[in-house]
Amino acid sequence: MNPVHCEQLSKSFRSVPAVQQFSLSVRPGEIMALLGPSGCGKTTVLRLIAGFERPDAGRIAIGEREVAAPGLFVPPERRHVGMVFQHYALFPHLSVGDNVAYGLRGKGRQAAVREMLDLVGLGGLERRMPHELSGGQQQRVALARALAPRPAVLLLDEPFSNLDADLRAALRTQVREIIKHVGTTALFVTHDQEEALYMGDRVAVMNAGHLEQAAEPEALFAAPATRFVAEFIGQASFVPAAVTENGLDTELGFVPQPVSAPSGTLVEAVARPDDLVLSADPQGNARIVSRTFRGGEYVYEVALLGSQRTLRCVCNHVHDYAADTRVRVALAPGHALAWFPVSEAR
Amino acid sequence: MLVRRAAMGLRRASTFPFSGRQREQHMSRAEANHIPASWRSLRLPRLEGWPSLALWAAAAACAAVLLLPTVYLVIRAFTASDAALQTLLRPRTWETVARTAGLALAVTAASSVIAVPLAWLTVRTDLPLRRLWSVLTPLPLVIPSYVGAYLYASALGPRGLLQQALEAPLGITRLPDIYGFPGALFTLTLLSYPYILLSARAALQRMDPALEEASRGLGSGAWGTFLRVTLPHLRPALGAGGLLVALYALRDFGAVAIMRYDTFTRVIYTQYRSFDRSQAALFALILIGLTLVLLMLEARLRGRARYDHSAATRPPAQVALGPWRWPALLFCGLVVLLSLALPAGVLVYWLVRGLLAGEALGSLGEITLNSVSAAAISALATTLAALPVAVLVVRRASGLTRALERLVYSAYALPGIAVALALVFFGVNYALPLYQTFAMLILAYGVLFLPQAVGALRAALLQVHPSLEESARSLGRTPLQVFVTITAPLIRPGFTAGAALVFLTAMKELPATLILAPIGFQTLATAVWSAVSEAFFARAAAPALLIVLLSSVPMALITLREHRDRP
Repeated sequence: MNPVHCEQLSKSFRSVPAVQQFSLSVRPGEIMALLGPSGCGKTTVLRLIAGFERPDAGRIAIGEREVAAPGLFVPPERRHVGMVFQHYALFPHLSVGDNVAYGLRGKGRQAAVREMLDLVGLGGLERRMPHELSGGQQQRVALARALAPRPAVLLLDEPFSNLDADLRAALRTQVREIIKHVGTTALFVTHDQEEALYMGDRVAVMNAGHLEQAAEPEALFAAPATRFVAEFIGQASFVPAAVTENGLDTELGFVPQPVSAPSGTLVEAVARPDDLVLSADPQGNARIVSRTFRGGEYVYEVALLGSQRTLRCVCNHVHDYAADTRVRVALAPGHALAWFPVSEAR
Repeated sequence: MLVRRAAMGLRRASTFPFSGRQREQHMSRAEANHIPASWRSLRLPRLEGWPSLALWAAAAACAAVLLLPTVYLVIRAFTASDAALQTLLRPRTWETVARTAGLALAVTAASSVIAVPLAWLTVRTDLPLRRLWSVLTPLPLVIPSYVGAYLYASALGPRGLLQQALEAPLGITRLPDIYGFPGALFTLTLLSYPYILLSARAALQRMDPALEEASRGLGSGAWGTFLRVTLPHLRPALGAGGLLVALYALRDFGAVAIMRYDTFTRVIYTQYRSFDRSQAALFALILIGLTLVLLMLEARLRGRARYDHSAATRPPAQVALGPWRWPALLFCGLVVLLSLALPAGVLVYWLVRGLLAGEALGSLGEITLNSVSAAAISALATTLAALPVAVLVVRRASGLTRALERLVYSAYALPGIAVALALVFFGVNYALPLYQTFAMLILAYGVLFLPQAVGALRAALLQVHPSLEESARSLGRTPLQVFVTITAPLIRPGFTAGAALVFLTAMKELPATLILAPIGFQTLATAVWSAVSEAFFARAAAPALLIVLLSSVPMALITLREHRDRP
């Protein structure tokens, strides 16, 4: 039985659809990242699961229990879901200890509070007030509070967005370790790809209220299910290609690979910046439009002379080309490329 | 919608044997085995439906009470429509409209002329003694209009203190008459300019200095910048403050009554006293109409201009006054002299004279107790009643709650005398047991002061981020438990502030108390009124001083609290 199961969830706000026919299962003990551009409905999914919003249609089950379905709505206090909010939502009038104890009842809650605070590395801070803590500490208190009642699933809404970059990286590791240590199932929302790929055992990519693909991070790169996923993950460019018997024939060269489409079909191959090779060539097929220096490497935007299509390429920092330099671009992926049928929109 | 939900709940429980709620209970029992003990104790009776229902019921009761005076006056006007029509056609009615509107406009204009320079001088310049002026200039707010009018009239009126002082050395036996329009304008302006001052000061402090710097950088001079950037930026604040001043003038009874200027409130009171009750009711309705027009005008003004009050990142640049600081000082000094020092001096004079003449203070204890208990009970009752309204308005945004908010907001404009009159007639005709009871007085205070209490609670609730309540729900608490353990402790300062505000205004309230207090129930306000209307100026001094002291204490508490809460 999966700890969280969503089936055909839909939710609109004032007739603007936020989530449409969204289905997703999170497996026991798994950390699932819900990734998407802002406004794609990912936070709404989280709030539907937590019970802060009522779905217009669809079903949600937490563990064996259905919590939302037509004619059924279990209020949040009876869902056994732990939630970590973007701004932590620590109760400002309660001490750290009382915050963590809030969801606990009966004897032994003090011991449980101490255990949880030790777990998140804040042992001994029970009597502090939330405003006396740093941002990172507040975040861990919020985590301890959500985990204390041993929820069936932990939900995290953009948990690291309020922290500066250094702290974010450190806390990411800690939070992942804590979640794995407790062994709880977690679903967290983020718009940060790097974070999703680092934290998530699997990543669910959302766009415009739909689920595009849910897969292991590597699979998202290797086999994007939709054009959106290919474009969103890893800044891919699209290169027109024709299917041949033993590969893809593109304007940037031939890529040998098995293709499950009849020969002659026109497709678009997904070319990531690192699949392309640039070389200085006055007779080359492209020119440099712009470049961005990223320390270890340059990211160039190049325009193909024939089609005026622009592509992004990444190059080692020793290859420094000025804007308007003629260059030669070639496809050298070293692996099979993902491809999509030519979309009618283009 | 509520009724429908309740009906669905019933149907679900009775006709569908194994669906919805029941199925869920079944599941949870099956599940109970692998749930930790700490969870099982959370299973309290389900409270999902009824807190919502209770909220709406309480808010609906508040709305009904707020609407009662106006609706009653409307019904009354329609049932006597012939007489009403005749009244409307009489020139005296329109003269009263003109006088009332004219006074309100004049007071607002005069107040702006005093308040805008004061605000600018105390916020943006190197005016000497700036902090002292900032503290002194808003203080006239604690003087009720009838106290102010009594002090000005007794000092500047015919045979008043000023004339007596001038008679011996200079032989002056007549001063320009203060009664009528000049006295009303003078009194109301000096008592109400702080409303504009405070909102203008706040806007000036919040203003991003970069706006003015940008204007200077684009080639505009100091004056041009003030006129083209600063003043337009102040417009919403001036609109809001100006509305408060105009409403103050429109609703005021004490000052116009003592200064004998026949605006609506005074005419209504005279008609009521001479048993011309239908007329009084109709005039009260017209007065309510005037205040509503004013409110709509303000709402429209406010709707058009929205300024981002982004908190300024650095304090605004200070303007060096140079030689202009002397006229500036003179101006501040004159305002404080007239609005504060003069009334205070006159009050002390009458107090000492009364004490020397052996004015009896015996009944003052009982009168004070009456005032304090009425104000305290009304503060508590009104703020409690405001709670469900504020919760609905802040937490359940919908068309219905927006309508509720608008209703409460417009009730802020109701003049005390109109509400009191409506409740008297309503009491006589439909609720005789309530007529002339303490409960009726508290009800009238409730109608008059509920908007203030809702305002304070609304502000406090807006500070509590909904995610706090959602967290608490997720941690296993029902909505009611969440309110008790999280929301209530967090909005307690707002509750206190709201109650203090109601206490302060109830303490000072005159017309409703005058008309609705049970027979023999004298408050400080009515004591001042009856002494002044018989020209026993010395006798009025002690209760007047007590009102000012007792109503300024809560104000000081609120201010201190605000300062302490600000990190």
